[in-house]
Amino acid sequence: MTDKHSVILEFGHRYTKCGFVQELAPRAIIRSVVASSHGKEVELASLSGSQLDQAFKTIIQTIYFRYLGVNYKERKVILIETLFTQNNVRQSLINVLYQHFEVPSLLIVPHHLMTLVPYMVSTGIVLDIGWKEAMAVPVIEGITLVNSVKYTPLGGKAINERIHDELIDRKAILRKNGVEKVYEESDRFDDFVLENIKVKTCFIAPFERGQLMLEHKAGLKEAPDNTPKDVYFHVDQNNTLLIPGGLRESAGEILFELYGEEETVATLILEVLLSCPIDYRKTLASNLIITGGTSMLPGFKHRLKMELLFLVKKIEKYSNNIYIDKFMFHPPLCKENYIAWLGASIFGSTDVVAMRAISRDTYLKTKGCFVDWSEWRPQPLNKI
Amino acid sequence: MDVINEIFATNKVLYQCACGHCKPLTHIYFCRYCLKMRCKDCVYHEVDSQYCQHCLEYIPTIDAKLKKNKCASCFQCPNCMHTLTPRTFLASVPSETDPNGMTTRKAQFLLCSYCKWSSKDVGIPDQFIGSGGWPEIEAPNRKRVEGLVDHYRVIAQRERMEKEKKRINPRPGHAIHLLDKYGISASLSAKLTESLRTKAYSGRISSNYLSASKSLTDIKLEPSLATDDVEPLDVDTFYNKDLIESEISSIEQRLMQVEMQPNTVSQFYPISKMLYVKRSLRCKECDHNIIKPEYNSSSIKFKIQLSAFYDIPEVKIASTPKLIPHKESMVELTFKNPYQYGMHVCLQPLKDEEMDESITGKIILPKAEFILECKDDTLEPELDSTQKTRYNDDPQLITFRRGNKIGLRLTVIPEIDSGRCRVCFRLRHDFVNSVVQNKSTGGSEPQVSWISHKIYVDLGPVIESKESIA
Ligand SMILES: [Zn+2]
Ligand SMILES: [Zn+2]
Ligand SMILES: [Zn+2]
Ligand SMILES: [Zn+2]
Repeated sequence: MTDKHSVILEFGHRYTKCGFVQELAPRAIIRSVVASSHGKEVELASLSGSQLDQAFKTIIQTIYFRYLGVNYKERKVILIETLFTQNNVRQSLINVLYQHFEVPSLLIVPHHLMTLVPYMVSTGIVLDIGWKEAMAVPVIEGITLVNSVKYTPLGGKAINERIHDELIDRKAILRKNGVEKVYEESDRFDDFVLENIKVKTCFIAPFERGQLMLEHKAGLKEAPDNTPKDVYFHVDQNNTLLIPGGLRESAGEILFELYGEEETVATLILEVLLSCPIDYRKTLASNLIITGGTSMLPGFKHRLKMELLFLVKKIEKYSNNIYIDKFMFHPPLCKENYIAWLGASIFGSTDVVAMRAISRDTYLKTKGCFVDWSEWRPQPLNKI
Repeated sequence: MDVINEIFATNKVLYQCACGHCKPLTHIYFCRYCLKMRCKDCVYHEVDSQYCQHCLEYIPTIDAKLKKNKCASCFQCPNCMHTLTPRTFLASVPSETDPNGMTTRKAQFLLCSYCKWSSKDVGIPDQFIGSGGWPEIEAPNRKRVEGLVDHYRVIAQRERMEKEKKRINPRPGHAIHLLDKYGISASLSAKLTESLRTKAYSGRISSNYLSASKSLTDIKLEPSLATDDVEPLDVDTFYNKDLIESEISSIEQRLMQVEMQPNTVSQFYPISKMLYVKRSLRCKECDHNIIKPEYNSSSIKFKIQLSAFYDIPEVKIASTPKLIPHKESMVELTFKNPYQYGMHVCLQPLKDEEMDESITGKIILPKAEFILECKDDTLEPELDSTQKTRYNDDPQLITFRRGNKIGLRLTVIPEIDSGRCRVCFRLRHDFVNSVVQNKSTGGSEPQVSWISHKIYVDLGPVIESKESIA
């Protein structure tokens, strides 16, 4: 049983990662979707109740047979979840794993702490920019300051929406079956296409450039010239889109545009610092860990650093309270979209799994008291 | 038209599985050991064997694990996911025997016959035949990750030892103490965090985590070093150069190579083909195999296949009547015996407690039992009339009889004013078990049991009366 490496699962809003402990990367990163009875794709995040249970059954079965090639009854499972995992989602997963798949044991680990594992640091801010939201989680000496966690709905999805809007605003030219027309609302491409427009053509502009774009948006200045080159994007056999160069640099600006009280990806970090004990602010600002697929856009980290330096000096709220002139980042040990997974792979290869995981027997015996997993203490194990 | 209807009409008749799910007969298994219906949701799915879909090689489980479920000799195109074809050619290389001369050796490159991507395009060197296949790309972080695994193992072992010591003399709150080393529960329970936070503020918690790692003298591993030296955007490339979309990889292509996630097509590397799994299914109640495929990877046959389709009478709607709310209509259902033994069949109404709200019509069932002949492919179907006389069929009830198939005329009464009319009944029949022998007769006689299935029949929408439309 010992050489049977545990399975690690992480169900993100957009992507699901699966693989085995002690491996360097997930075996696969797949979309968090299942096929509906009409053959259409349904996002796991849009489901609840028995439909969600059924969807988890389907996707987990696909993971085990298509990507992992192992039997679910023979492997312990480590499940990565974020602080905001909804209770019903967790409950559904727990039930499906223990009752339907009869996994021998399950350990739930928090995403942000697993992100710290590969770096061997115990104090820092984990900034996770995924699909639905960006979230900054401060950790001091291994302890999560739950009340200081900040989040905002900025992520891959927001950029996709922005790309769609800008294609309309900038009157992008779409060649449809050989006929040229202006892209409009009814041409809306699905998230697959928008995501590839983003991944293939967009980037995060340098700070100064961002300022120019912001001034233009506020109506103070002309649109900055020297925009990037337009790009022909082949949507499919019949559709070709001419992506305006301006869109390529400005779509990602949504992460940094500051309007009034709204959050940007950079203010999230400063807000976290504001709500953390003064003694720790410097250490936290010197230990920034960036994770999540959206942070992989070219130029992102540099821009974030410049934004932080700017805001901390120019915005009163921050300059009066945070005396920091340096923000330091930990270089990623792997691609940013699976750092937490790698952390769990390292963490899960230790005795911890045997000690902390909750066996199926224990689960079945104590089922009634599973109000909230986090309230659950491993007492029954200690009494034996 | 009728044929197409037939194929798509399978959802009209549903059988209830032992687990409660209702499925068409083709989606249901029948466990001959516990004599119950099973569906894919109530059987164990197991990895039976693994094989490469391309070269059809059967790969023993242990090798499959070592190779991370990948075929050692087949590759997929990193550009379009088609299978790559190895192209062999004669390359001239310096001779081993004559330092000045040249000799030829067989070499290979990989080519996609679909999109024409080739390992030559992206500068991957050709491989000589017999040199042991294409090298795998080494992950750049391997050493560090291996070091980290060792490091955390030592910490975890220490924690385990501490925990074992404490087990003898437990003190209050020790569970929390154990957990805070990794902060796991702390992150999840606000109440707990609050108490730990106060401790952290007052500086009384010296990090167990850090102190433990400091004493790990045997594993010299430094924590990650943060830097404010972050690489700026390559402005020249993004602002001044043309971007050719086809040279940049898509998100799907990147995720095919999780470790490297190449941004450009020029960084692509051939992808090892993933092995396919042949599944076997096992009954959750009695542990017997329900589906067991043959080992031969090119075979699509099964060693064991207990599909209900082979054992259980198939019910179909032969003719749908006009369904008028609360009025009697005649519906014709056919029953077909797919099994090698004949069956005595009777239809039974549901008990009150078995009714549910999806049932929207009443069906009047015959009291009499009827016989379904066994399936026999070798016999020419007898004439209707001869069979009919043999079984003394009631012409009011039985519309036709042809071999193992029989037609029944039944009365239904829709109990709704609009919507679909669904009726439900139990089909009870005897089953001669050819697999499980009867123990009491010393195993010489096949065991005969009576079983029954709950069957839902969707007859279609009722005709709404004119008053209700108006
Ligand atoms: Zn079932
Ligand atoms: Zn192969
Ligand atoms: Zn190809
Ligand atoms: Zn059984």
